[in-house]
Amino acid sequence: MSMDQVVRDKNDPIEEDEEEVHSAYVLVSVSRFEDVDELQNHGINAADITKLKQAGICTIKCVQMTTKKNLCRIKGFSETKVEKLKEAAAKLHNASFITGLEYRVQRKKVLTISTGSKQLDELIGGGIQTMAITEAFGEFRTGKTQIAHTLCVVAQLPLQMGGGNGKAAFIDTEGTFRHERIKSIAERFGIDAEAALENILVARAYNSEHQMDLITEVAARFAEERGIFRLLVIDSIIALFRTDFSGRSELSERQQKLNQMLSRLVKIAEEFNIAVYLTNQVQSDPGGGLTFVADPKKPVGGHIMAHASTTRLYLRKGRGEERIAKVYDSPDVPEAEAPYAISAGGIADVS
Amino acid sequence: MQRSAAPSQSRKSVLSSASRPLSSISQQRPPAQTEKQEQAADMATFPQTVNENQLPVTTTHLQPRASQTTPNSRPMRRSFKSPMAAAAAGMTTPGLSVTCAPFKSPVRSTLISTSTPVLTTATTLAAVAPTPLGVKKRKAESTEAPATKESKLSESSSRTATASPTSLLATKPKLQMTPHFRSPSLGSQAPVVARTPVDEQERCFNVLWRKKTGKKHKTWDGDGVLIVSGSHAILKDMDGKEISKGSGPAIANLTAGDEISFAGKDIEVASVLDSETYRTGRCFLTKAAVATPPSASANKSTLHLTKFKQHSSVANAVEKPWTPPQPRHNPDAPHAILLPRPSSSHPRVVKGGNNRPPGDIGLVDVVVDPILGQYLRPHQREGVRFLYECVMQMKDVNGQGAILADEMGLGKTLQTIALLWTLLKQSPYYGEESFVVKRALVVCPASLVKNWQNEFKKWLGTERLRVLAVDSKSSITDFTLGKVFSVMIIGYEKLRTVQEEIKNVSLDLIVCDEGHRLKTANIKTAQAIRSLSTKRRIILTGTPIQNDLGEFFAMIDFVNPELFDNYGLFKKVFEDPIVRSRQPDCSKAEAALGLERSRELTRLTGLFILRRTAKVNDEFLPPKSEAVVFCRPSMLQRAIYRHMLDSPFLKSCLSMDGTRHLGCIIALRKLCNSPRLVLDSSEQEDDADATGLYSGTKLMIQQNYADYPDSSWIGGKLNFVDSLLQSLRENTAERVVLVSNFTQTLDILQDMCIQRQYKFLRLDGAKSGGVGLNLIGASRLIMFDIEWNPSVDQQAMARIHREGQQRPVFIYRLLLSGTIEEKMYQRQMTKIGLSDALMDGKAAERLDKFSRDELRDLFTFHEDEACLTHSLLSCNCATSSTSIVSAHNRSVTLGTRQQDKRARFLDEPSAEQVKKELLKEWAHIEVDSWRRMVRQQGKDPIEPEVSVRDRILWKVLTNTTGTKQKHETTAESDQEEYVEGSDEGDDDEDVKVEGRRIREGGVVSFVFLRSAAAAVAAASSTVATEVDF
Repeated sequence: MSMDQVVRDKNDPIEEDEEEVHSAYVLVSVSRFEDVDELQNHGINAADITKLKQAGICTIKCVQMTTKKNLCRIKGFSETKVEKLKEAAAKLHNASFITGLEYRVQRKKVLTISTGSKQLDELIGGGIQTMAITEAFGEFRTGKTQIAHTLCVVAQLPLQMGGGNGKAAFIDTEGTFRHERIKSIAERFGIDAEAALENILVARAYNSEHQMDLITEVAARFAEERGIFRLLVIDSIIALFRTDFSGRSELSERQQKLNQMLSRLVKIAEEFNIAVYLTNQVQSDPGGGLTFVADPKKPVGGHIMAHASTTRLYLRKGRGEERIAKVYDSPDVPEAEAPYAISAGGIADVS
Repeated sequence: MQRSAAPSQSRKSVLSSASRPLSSISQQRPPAQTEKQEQAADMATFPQTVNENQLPVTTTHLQPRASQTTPNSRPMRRSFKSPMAAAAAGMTTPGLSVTCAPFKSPVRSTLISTSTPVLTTATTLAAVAPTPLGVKKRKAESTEAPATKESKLSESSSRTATASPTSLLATKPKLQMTPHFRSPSLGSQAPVVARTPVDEQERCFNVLWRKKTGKKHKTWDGDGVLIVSGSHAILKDMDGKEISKGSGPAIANLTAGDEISFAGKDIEVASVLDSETYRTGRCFLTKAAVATPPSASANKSTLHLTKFKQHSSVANAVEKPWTPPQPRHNPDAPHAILLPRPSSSHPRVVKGGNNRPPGDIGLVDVVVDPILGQYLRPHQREGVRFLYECVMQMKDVNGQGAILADEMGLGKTLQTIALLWTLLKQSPYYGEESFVVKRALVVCPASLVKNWQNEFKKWLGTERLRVLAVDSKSSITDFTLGKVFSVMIIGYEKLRTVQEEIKNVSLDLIVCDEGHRLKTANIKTAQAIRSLSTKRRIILTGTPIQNDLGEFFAMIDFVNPELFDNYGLFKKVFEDPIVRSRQPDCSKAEAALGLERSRELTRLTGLFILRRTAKVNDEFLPPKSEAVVFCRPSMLQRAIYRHMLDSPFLKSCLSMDGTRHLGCIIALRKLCNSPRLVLDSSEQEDDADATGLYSGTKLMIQQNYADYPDSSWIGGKLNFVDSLLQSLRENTAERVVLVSNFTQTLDILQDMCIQRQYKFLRLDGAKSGGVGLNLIGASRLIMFDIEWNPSVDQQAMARIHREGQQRPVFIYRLLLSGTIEEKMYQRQMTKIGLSDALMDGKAAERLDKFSRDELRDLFTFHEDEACLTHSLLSCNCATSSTSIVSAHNRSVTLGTRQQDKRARFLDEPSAEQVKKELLKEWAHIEVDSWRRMVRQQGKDPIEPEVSVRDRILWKVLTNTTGTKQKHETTAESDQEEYVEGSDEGDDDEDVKVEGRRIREGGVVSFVFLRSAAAAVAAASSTVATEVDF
């Protein structure tokens, strides 16, 4: 018996000012008034708020997530101002302790977006979760990008079909976004291909800094259109880093930048209740010969990637169209494997 | 569609002049592109800019944004799919921006330069790039000048829309100022201001400053204003205070974005400030003065945000079976309390929900959280249920208010907190919000604010509920404007001062603690609360009725204003008939009418007033035992009392109307406490004034009693207290609370404690003994003097017998027999009877006024009475037969006879009867004879009242013979003053003064004793003491 109070019938119209999440018929309405503009009432003048937005901080929660050090780095912000800002933010948003019961109520708005294959869904607990980062790594041809495309379409489907009922954003770093695939997948699910494409925002990133900027921009977009977006795909997150930083000497800097980016992603995921799906690459692992696997490989990114991702999936090729996904790291589900297939309509169950 | 390779290149040069550190994508894009690629890129990067419906003619379709550089400025794509429209969007995305110049929307509108720079395709990269954290920009804010210049550029370039790249090139260099361009920073608007020649070159800048530091990661200390005239400059901080001044060559040509070193500080110029703003001082003012109107951010709303529309083809996909909503807490859990549902006729039940599946009534159970439920006593559960029903308008009353009038110590605070927590988190109607109350206000006396905060913390912790406790200095904006706090606790006085701010806040529930403060209906505080916007009001009070029905009305009117429209109506319908029916000379019809009306009033108010007495608590708490101890006044006290009563001053009070009575009364009360207080007061009075109150007192004392040792100043009650404390110290480790209404008395008690070397803690102020405090560490309470208002005393007494008390409680009330204190006590008993009676609909009389006769009686000294009250009652209790007192005179107040007559009329108990009823619960002990019998029989003669229940009192009473306990202190040499007697015989116990047998001061002459068991026994006993009229 679910213990939480249901508040709104799912068919009631959505109010302008509220984000509504229909998840298991529980509604948590989040007022729109968490924008930084609210701070005007607390003694922060409009020019400063403008500067905040320029820096990519659009919500009060984001203000709280940013350190004072980073806020000071914004042009035009002095220490006193930053302190005033933090104080005002604390009045408007509770960032302190809550009881576990209250936390459970807040977690009610987490959705899962199906991957298209029921077995794969079952493996990861219903689909990829919002407010979390799901990372899939594997060699080429294992279907990472295909999963990404499928997710983009499924995210638009209604909740009963395992979807997210929202738009998707796709940051493409390898130039592999194909609208034809989207079309096929949409046809598989019976929705209009054009409308499906309409609901996906695609951006092509060319270097790692640009990628970071895109993430900032997309965050601002999410803030503006609360509740509209449900998925953010970055395919792949590491590719540009691998080119921009080469050699051992730059490794530490790469990892630092990567860490910052991932930290940003985590915050975005939680703040706007979206699912983040990352694709990662693999590299050879010369020292992995101990396992007597034919071609030892390990995911790129090292421990930084490992700790930042909520759920990690290792994809490998099976026979023919079949692929196998294995859960490498998850707080919810145990380690297990599941097969899936790549079909014309995206990811599907093995027939 | 235009394709221009060259234009993008030409724009590149424009870009480079802006010297942006961030490379834009356009710079990197190879000039030659296939159309498809570009189109694809466009579609990828430019969501649709324009919705045709949305284009007003005069405004730009490039919606200017307050945040000029955020990526948000990109308008949303709508249903438009053509690549054509993608062009004009002035992109501010870093890197994505400039691109497609070739795509120009067929519809171009005049680009108006607004206060924020207009974003155009070609240009504004300078202004535009967002500042990712960590990137410092030097020439950051492109001033508005270049931006609008370039807007002009694009406008002109649009005119030549079909032009070849070269024409674009040609138009580019023409950077002209648009006629409507205004650059406020240059101060060009202020030529009208007369300036002195010195000021002519004065320029002002907004700057950031910091002290010079060698740190690697520098941060700015603060904001400031730099006023430059010529090459001399002054730096002021945001409070207007001058920080430093200096001069130098660099100052003369300052522009925005410069970083200079100045007078030992590093300064970065953020922007140019209008010198008029500086001169008027507006730049130093905070928010209101300087904030740009929110219309700047309202621009955001003109951006058409797309709603996500479900795909129609799958919108009616398989639905999950609908499960009925579940309550927040399991109603079957062990400590959960299920609250009643609104009935089907309740007005709000059927709101909304046309889509409800059959069988669904739109209601869900509301369950009190078990974390509180496990601590609620049965009567508290009842209370929470009652309050919930009243506030949710489930009772048949036209209003949403309630009065919780439980006696003290019954947990009104806990019941309120439980109700608040339930209402804040749950609602019986689903389909709407998940709470009934979003914001609540608790108003209480200022000294209790902290107490309430602690109570919230104690029951709910700090994480579940954020509560703001406002003391006299803090501001309430955290509550009114913030979202974090759901409950605010504020004092009555503070509420009055912030009344204006609170008016604008929508509150959902108001709780007034100690609501009897509102009884004076037209004071500002009450009006302030009344003006608040909610209908749900709860009053908590331990003493709902103190004097008359008018006060009662005030409280009712506060919680349910619609019940009686105004006081006039209430007065006509209820108050007058009821009061009339209580007059001694009313007719039978009037009496009957009054009775009916009073019954109706009781019925009506019973719907929203709940009162329980402390008896419900008795099962849970250790037993309470009360003793009213009548002490004899000392010789000195008697003498002074007589003197004062005979004084011309007092006699004049009686004969004329005036306000002197109060002074006399107070003087007498002080005397009862200790003669020293009188002496102090008389010293303040002018000696020569023969008509003064204390005239002659001093003289008399000095003449007659000068040779009395110091200790004789002490007086009757103090002696008893002394022996009691002594006994306590020797026999127990219990703590004692001494309460008095006079601080001077507390001084004397303090002296005594010091002398006897008792450790004490002193709390002053009216609040300490009265309202709100918990003193449950103590198990004995001594009320040294008495007040008119019984509730004051009752509250004081309730300080120790309440939740958390672990020991049996003993309360001693001291009265000086035969004096004004006894009369006050009698009145108190009557008032208590009235209060209780009115809650049940019985007797009522005006107890706040004295008739002349009553006044005269007040100023009578019944010197010989052991206990005047007892004699007044003509009680036939067991002690009477052995009492020495029985032969004494009784003085009966005139009032009683009339009351008796009326009582027979109405078949209702009179005040007298009520009094007797109350006193029936008490065991009456006439101490002299009792003591004799104890000595004779060796045990407690009456009942094992004293010996078993209160050993200390027993010791004190039986031990007032022979020598006083050892006193290490001085001035007690004359033991005869105190000695109440010796072991042998009566006569020796008396000190013979002036031929009469006068008990010396300090002797306890009478005791009323009541303990919990006795009260119960009295109620159930058949014979006990019969009262007759």
